[in-house]
Amino acid sequence: MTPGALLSRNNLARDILFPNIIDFVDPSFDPGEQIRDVNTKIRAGLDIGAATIEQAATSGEGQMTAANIVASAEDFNTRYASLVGWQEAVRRVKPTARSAAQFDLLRLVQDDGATTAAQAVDVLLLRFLHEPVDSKARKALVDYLVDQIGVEQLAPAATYAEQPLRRVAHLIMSMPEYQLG
Amino acid sequence: MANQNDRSSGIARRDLLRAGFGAVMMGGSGGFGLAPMFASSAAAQTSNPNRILVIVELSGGNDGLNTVVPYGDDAYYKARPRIGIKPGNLLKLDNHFGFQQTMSGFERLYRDGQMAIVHGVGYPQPSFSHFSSMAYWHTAAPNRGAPYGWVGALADQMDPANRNNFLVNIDTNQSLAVRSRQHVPLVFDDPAKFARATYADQAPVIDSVLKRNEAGSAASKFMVDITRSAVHSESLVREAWSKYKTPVDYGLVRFGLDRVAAMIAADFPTRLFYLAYRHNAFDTHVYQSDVHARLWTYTADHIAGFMADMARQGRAQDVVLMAFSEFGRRVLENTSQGTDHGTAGPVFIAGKPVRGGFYGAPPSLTNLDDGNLVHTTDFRRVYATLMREWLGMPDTRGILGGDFDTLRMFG
Repeated sequence: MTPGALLSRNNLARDILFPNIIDFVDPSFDPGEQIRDVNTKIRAGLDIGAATIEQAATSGEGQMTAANIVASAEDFNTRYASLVGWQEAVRRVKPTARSAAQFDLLRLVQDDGATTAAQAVDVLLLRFLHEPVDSKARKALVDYLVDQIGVEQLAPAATYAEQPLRRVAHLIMSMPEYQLG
Repeated sequence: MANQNDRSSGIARRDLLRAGFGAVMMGGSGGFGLAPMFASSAAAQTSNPNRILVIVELSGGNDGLNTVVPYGDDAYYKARPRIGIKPGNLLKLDNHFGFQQTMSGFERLYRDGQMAIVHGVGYPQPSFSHFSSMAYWHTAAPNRGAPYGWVGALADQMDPANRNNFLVNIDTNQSLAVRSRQHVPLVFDDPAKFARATYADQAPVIDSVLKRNEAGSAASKFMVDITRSAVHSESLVREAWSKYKTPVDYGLVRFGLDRVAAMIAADFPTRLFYLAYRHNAFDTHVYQSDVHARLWTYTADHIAGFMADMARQGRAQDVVLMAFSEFGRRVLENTSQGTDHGTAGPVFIAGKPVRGGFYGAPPSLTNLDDGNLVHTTDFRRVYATLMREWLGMPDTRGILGGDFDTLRMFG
């Protein structure tokens, strides 16, 4: 176990509890900047030579030389071929499944008899840790959960307690003791 | 680069970092037993406190004969009719040896007298297993193994005070070489990702949890120490990396020396760095010529760039780098125009303080052991040289398991 591995594990726990679905781009459907650029230019009506010329060659010295090279190679233009290849490939690609882990922490703690924030923390500690944590750490977690849900009882917060409970679970999974066992 | 004029509580930032900044911070916030602050042992003080050793592992078993090519020996071309590199395609070092053409970075270092090449480095009864042989090199214990790495043990000897960040391993996984009885090596790969991801409201809770003193079992206490080390190192590493700017070209494949340079520039107290060209890259069984040439382009450029950067930082006299591989390749090429696992190979030691040139006897290409080179220099002699001559640690026996002559490589 090293500091780096510990941080990676902590971060993996967060990615499971709070997957970043918003920023996820399926790499099978992401052709990259170059293909996007060529696609935009082709659709805007540029000819293949102009659409596929390297950005750096379109300004400054060497502009004409670069343009001529591209134009003369028009019948074997790998950038345009890549665009067409991507267009054909994307028709056939099956999307990568990307859904958050389906679990219900509120139901989990309630099924184990928890009715208060403190009891919910105890259920999660028991489930995730092999060693008990000291009273100070436990109190910090209980205080955090109470602060997040606004009450000490779970029932009044049932409609919104899932996210705070996940954050508590993430904190527990970030604790040194989580790596034991 | 870090602003070295920054001051914190009247103590220069450079001094804080060299003393183990994380330890200082925790000392102020109570109850952190991992790294006593400011304490530096007599051993560390007498062992040239500015000197840094960087170790680069070339994983996979580099083909030494196509790296430092013995073009003056007909046996080389007889053994390698298809993959032998012709004299005209070499960067000649003398009338017998030459680097392959892609190693211009190494050639510059050699020409400048800043590179030592140790021929035929290996060990008795060599293993042809990547795993076993690398473990022998990692532990300096051929054919027996040891629980701790030689670099980790060296850190314990150099720094009995166990300062934070004395030993750094740039990789995704900790190497056995840096496994230490006392030190917690700082292991990371991408500085930008070497961070704990939390939501804002979670941070105070984590801080509170880590400040407690009631950790239960020994294992629990160990994990608490690791966690504290992570928390305090992550911000330092990211800060060092984000501030580091260099005009030096580190080549096409940056396997970590740029990150080492950033940490040195930020005055980390690190004296021992360990990193690898990973994923068995040098395991060239099939059609090796092109891939091996490319590997050495990347490796030589990266190492030469690092050395240039050290000179730019004014640290050329303080930093020495060793590059090794777990074994060389067989002398005969195989039927796939590659080479198979062998025994001895060259070790490279670079740096301004190094007396450049060849060391050790070149192994014979005809007097072989079942088709393999017979090693002429035990790798622990190289380790002993670095420990005694460079780092000033006279007691090598405990780490190397015996007495080994040094190579008189440093002035």
